[in-house]
Amino acid sequence: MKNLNVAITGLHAADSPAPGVPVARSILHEGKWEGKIIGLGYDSFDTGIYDKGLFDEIYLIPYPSEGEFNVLARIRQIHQKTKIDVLIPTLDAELNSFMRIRPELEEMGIKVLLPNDSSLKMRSKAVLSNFCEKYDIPFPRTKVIFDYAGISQAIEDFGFPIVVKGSFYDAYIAYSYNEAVIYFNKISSVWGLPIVVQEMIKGEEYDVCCLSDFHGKVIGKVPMRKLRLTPKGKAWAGVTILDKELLELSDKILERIHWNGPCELEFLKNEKNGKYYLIEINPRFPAWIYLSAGAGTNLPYTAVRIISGEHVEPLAPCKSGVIFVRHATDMICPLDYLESLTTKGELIFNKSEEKEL
Amino acid sequence: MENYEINQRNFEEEFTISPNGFLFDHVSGLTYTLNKTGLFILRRIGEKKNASEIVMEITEKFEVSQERANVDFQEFLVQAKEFGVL
Amino acid sequence: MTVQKEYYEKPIIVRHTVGLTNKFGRNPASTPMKMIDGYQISKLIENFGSPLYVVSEATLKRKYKDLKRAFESRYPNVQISYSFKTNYLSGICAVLQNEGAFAEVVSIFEYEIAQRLNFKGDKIIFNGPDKSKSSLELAVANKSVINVDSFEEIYLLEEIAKERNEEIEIGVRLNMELNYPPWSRFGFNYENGQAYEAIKRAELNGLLKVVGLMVHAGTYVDDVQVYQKMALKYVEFYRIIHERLGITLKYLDIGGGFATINTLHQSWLPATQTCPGFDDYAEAICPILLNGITQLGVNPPKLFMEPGRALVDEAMHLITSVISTKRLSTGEKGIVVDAGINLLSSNQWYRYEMQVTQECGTMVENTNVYGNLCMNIDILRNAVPLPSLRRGDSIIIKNVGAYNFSQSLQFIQFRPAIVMIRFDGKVELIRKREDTNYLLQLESVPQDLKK
Ligand SMILES: Cc1ncc(COP(=O)(O)O)c(C=O)c1O
Repeated sequence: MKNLNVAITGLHAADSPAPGVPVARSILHEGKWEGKIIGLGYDSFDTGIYDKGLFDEIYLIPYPSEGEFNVLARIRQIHQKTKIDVLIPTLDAELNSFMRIRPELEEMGIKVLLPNDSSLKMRSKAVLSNFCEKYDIPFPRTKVIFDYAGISQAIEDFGFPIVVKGSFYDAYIAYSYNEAVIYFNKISSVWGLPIVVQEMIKGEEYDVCCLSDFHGKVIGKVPMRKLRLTPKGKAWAGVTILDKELLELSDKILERIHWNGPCELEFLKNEKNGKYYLIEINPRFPAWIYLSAGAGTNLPYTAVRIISGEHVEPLAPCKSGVIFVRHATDMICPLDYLESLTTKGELIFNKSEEKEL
Repeated sequence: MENYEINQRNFEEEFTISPNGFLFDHVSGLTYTLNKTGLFILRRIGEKKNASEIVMEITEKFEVSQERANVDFQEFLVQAKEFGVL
Repeated sequence: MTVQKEYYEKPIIVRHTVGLTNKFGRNPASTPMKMIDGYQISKLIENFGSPLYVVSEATLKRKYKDLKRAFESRYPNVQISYSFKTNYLSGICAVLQNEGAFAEVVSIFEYEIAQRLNFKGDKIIFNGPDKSKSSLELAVANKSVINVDSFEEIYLLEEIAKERNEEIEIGVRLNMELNYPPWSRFGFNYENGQAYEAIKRAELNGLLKVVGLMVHAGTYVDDVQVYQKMALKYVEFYRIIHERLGITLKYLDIGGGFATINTLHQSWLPATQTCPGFDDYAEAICPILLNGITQLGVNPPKLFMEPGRALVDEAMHLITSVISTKRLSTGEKGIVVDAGINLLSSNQWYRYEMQVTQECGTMVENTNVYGNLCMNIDILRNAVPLPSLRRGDSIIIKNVGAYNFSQSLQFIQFRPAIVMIRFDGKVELIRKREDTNYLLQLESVPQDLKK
């Protein structure tokens, strides 16, 4: 299995970090990897490209908004140069296009582990509340809105503050109508409509990263409490925990939604009633997934095992009390890197050379 | 054909130009991409060739008429000047 | 000895900026689309001039057949009724007529187009908020399907029934809470009981008989759940009026609104990834209607649908040629083409796909595409990744069949010629390019002002 070439997307680990880099690190965590780790980036300044020693080769690919045919054509081109055995997309917005080109990828011999259409739809921010209502899963009251009138309505129903979210990314807490309007415009100008507005639940934040196999069986779970947050609510430090209630709730959700592949369940433990409220289901690994390797339940590595066709039994629970702290650092890189990325859209590392840089 | 008027820069010291058409301007820190013909022209400007020499070389190397090559050459100069490369 | 010369590309230099899209793999906009249905685009321009609308009969037929198949395989009695307003070029309407479509019209002007095309009266559905008494008289005399929009229309039709001394069959247009924005201005509201009242009122004097219901959910509805909701409400409403008022329906009309592969400005993902197929729509609607209605113990009524966009959007393209190229003071690149927003009104909703029609090199730059109208708002699209174009090169703006022609107007420029590439590959002119005589024929100058 360790001789497979694994391609990973989502290399930009900046202020809202993409999970590609920690996924690559997790895979490399289990000892020498003989195959190639291939990074698929979107921009020559995707930071993970410059994290030397992680990726063997980098290729730039078109944004999913350019249409899946272009993505497919580019991957075909890359595959001809460097055989890709396994592909792990790590960004929400990519999922649609990768699901659509899945038959073509498989025909080329590129294996993927992706959710199915209906479960992906069920977890979309605009309809997740329907799902929760149906299965009696606590969830903040939610409105899907298209205009300012929707904001006023939500404020009337939920009071302040309210949470304003895009259908793909971005979430802000608004304490006034004017603030909500600003966030509405800000989000919709980038990610389009509709906008999702939720009541604000106060409480501690918990995440559970889960991995289900091709049959929907949950193979591994890593629950984590957030210890430090960035102003945008991203975990900057966290610790693995062991709470049966949270794990059982996660199992129930994944079972009902028939999930395949990795996902992140985000919860708030409502300080009023002590219940876990499901906030979001992200259809991919979270950016803190390297913690899973540290806690002995390496989910990205396990994902590659599953994708490669190995039969994998559910993993033992992870170690609790393992902490991660995120750390930003500066890397030095030669002009050649940028030259190669901007003119050829690729960067092939010569691993022995790098050691000297 | 008139010669061009440009702010002739010191190509050796101020530019890094790669065979793939990547250009780094050491003075401004800006980066550019040139296509094959753009690169061809810039190299010849660096060699201090005059306009008619450059246009002639273009028509010798590429499948293009002299009129079109000349118009495009002038347009390229305008663009490069606006960017501050020349 | 002659040396083989290299392929020439216009020389360019591009400055890198943040977010400059990296397009590795060839960008689709720079890959020339040289033909439509096997016919050379350059030839079309040579013969018919630029700009030029091009209709594909093959696509029209394919769309019609596909829609019909999707619904007929799930419901016993389906009739497609083409929404004329979407594009009432006679050539297009005639293609769909030959496939078996009825005409759905919302004005007397469209009604007359249908008549000239020899649509039989009972193959015309007459909808819309503006029906004059005379137009209703015409529709009644021709036994057209009439869906009433307001109480005023009910009163008018009662008058006509009295005058003709016969009962008139009508359909009632409903509006429901289905999606956003609601089309609540048309017909009678379902949720607040107004629709029920309207039906009761219509049947009150024994002059009108309600035989149909009609709902139109909106246009470009890419969420099939909207139709699912509509079907559920239809079943529920039918149960109520059947039980309480003893009404048996001859038809249910689900309106139009199916989406196409054009991407809305507000949508980040391309519509090719989000637009449902005809089967998805049919699957959302038909089983619910069929099961629900069968349970009422009545026969499933005829299912009318009134697609517009979904049939014609992808069957027409606009070809336009570059007049000049610009480098704006902001550093942005621009091109001016010979078609303006007067020919492309739907560009306010759609991020139209644009593609070159001849080799122009592979290096692209984000380019603003401006029309020829001499107005600042005349922007066809901003930041299209296009290769370097020069005067005379042309681009194709794809899938412009819906609403653009019927909403087009002459503003300082004539409207262009329209050709149809026939199913057999031949090309036919279906609308001439306008000229000054055509435009001025309705005008007159007061005698004393004449020079
Ligand atoms: C009554 C009615 N039917 C059908 C249509 C056609 O809609 P579409 O082009 O979205 O299919 C419309 C358009 O607004 C309409 O008003």
